[in-house]
Amino acid sequence: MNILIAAAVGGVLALISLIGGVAAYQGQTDGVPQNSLYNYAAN
Amino acid sequence: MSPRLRRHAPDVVLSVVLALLVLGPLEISRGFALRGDMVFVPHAPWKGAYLGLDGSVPRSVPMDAVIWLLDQLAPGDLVQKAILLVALVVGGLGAARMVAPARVLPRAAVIIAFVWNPWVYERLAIGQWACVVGYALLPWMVLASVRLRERRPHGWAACIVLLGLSAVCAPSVGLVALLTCTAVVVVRPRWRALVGLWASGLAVNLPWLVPSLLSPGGITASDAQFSSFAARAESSLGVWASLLSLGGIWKTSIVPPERTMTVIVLLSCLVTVIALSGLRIAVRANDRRTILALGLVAGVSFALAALPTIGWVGTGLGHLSTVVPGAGILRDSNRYLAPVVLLLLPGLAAAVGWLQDQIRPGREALLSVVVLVVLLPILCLPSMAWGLHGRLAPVRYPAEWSSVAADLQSGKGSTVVLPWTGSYRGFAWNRHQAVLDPAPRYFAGDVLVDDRVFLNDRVLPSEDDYLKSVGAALTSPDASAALRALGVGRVLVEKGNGVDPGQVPSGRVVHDGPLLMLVDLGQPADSVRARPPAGWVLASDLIALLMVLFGVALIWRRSM
Repeated sequence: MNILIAAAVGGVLALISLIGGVAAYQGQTDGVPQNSLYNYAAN
Repeated sequence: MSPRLRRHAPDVVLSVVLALLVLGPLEISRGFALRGDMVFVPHAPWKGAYLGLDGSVPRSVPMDAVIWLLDQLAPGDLVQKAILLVALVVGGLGAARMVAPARVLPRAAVIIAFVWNPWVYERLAIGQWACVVGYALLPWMVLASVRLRERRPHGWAACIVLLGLSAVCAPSVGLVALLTCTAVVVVRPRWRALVGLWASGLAVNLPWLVPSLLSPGGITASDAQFSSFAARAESSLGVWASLLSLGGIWKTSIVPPERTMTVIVLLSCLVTVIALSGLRIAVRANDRRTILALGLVAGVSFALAALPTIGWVGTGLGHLSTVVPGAGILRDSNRYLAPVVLLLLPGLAAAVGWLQDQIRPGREALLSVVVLVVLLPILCLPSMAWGLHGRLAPVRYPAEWSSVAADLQSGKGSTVVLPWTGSYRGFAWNRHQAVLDPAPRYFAGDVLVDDRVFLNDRVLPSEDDYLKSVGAALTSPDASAALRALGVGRVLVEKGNGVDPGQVPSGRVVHDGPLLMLVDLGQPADSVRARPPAGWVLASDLIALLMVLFGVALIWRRSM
C-alpha cells in the first residue's frame, strides 16, 4: 500500500513540476495572446 | 522557549521563508522594484497632493503621506523592502491564526495558500502593493471582528485600527475591510455594534472621500472602464476557472506563463475544491457563525469579481459609473476577489487535518499525499518564486534624475512631463517594464502627468478637467504661452518614451542629458487648478488619525 501511494504521489509531483516548471521557465503560453496594455511599455 | 513561542515558531519561520522566496532579489540588494503602480523614490519631497489638497484625483491618499513619513526615517528602497516583507509575513501569520487550533501541517497549508496564490502574484506584478498590504490585514480583520461580535476585549479597538490601516492602503481596500467586518458581525446581529462599525468605517475613510467629493472639478468617469478592467480568462478553461483558482487579472501581459496552461489552472482549482470540501469538517469543528460570515463575504467578493465579465453587466456598470459618483471604485473587479481566500483557509486546514488523521500503520506514505496538498499552490505557480521570476529585481534611479531634481527645487509654477500619452512609462534603465511615472513623487513641486489610460483597443479619457486643459494646451499653436496661462512653468521630457523633439514646447533648455530634458517656459501665471477646501480635507485627516490613535490607545491601556 505504502509503495503504491508513494509512487502515485511521486508521479503526480513529477508531472506538475515538469509542466508548471517548464512553462514558467520558458514563458510558454497555451494560445492566449499576450498583449501589452500600456502604450510604450510592453511588460 | 515558552510553549506559546514554540507553537508559533513554525508559522513565523514558514511565513518569513515564503516572503523571502516571493520577494527574492528585492530583499538581498539595494534598489527599487518599479512595476506597474508600484513606485517608490529615494526621498519623496512633501506635497499637498499626498493628502488630496491639490485638486487631483486622490488615487493614493493618504498612503502617499504615510510613505513620505516613512521616507523621513529611512531611504525609500528600504521602506519598500520592509513594507512588502512585513506584509507577507503578517498575512501568513494571520492566516495561521485564523485556524489556530489546527496542527502544524494544516497551518502550513493555509499559510502557503494565503501567501502563494495567483491573486497575490498578479497584484504584485501589476504593482498594486497597497492592495497586497490590505489583503495581509484581512485575516486579522476577521479575528478582530469575531472579538467584537463576541464582546471580547480589544474587539472594538482592533476593528477601528484595522479599518483605519486598510483605508490608508487604498479606497478599494477600505471597502473590502468594511465588508468583511460587517459580514462577521452581522451573522449575530448587534445593531448598535453595526452602526458603530459603519460610523468608524466612514470616519477612517474620510481622508480620500472628502477630497473626492469636494473636488471642484469633480471626477469624470469613463463608461468603458468596467469592461476594460473586467477579469479575463487566463487559459482555455475560461474566466470562471481563473477566478475560482484566484486568478484572472485584466492585464494579460503579466499573467504567469504556467497560468495559461489548462492543466495548471485545473490543478489550482483543485486547491479550491479541496478547501471547499473541507468546510463540511470545519463547520463541525469550528465556529459555525464565522464560517457562515466568511461564506457571505466570499460570495459577495466573487460576485463583484465575476459579474463585470458578463458583457451586458460590464456595460451597464460602466454607464452607471458615469452617473453615480464613486461607482468607478468597483472597476478592476479581480481586486475584490481577495476575501474569497478567507473562506478557503478553514476548509483547507480541516481537509489537511482529516488527511493527516488517515495516516495509520501500513499507510504511512499517506503523509506524502498530505505534503503534496500542502505544497500544491507552490507547485501550480512556480513563477512566483524569486521575485516573481525576476520581475521584482531591483533597479536604481539614474544619477541624472537626482541632478534634475536639484534643478526643480526652486518653485516656478507646475511642471508638465512628456510624453503626454498616459501615466505609464517603459524606461530602459528599468528593463522597459511598465511603471507609473515616478516623476510626480521624485521631483518637487506640482508635477503633472497625463492620466489617460492607453489600452490596446481604446484610450480611457482623463478623469481630471485640469489635466484635460493641459493636454489641449500642448496641442495649441503656441503651446508655451498656453501652458504658462495654466500656471505651468516647465516641461520635463523623459527621453526614450516616444517624444518627438518637435512636440516639446519652446523655451530655455535648462538641462539636456541622455535621459531627461528640462525646458523653462518663462514666468507662468498663477495656477488655475481648482482645489478642494483645505480646511475640510485637513479636518477629515485629523478625524481619521484620531480614530486610529484612539483604537491604539484602547488596546495599549487594556494590555497594561
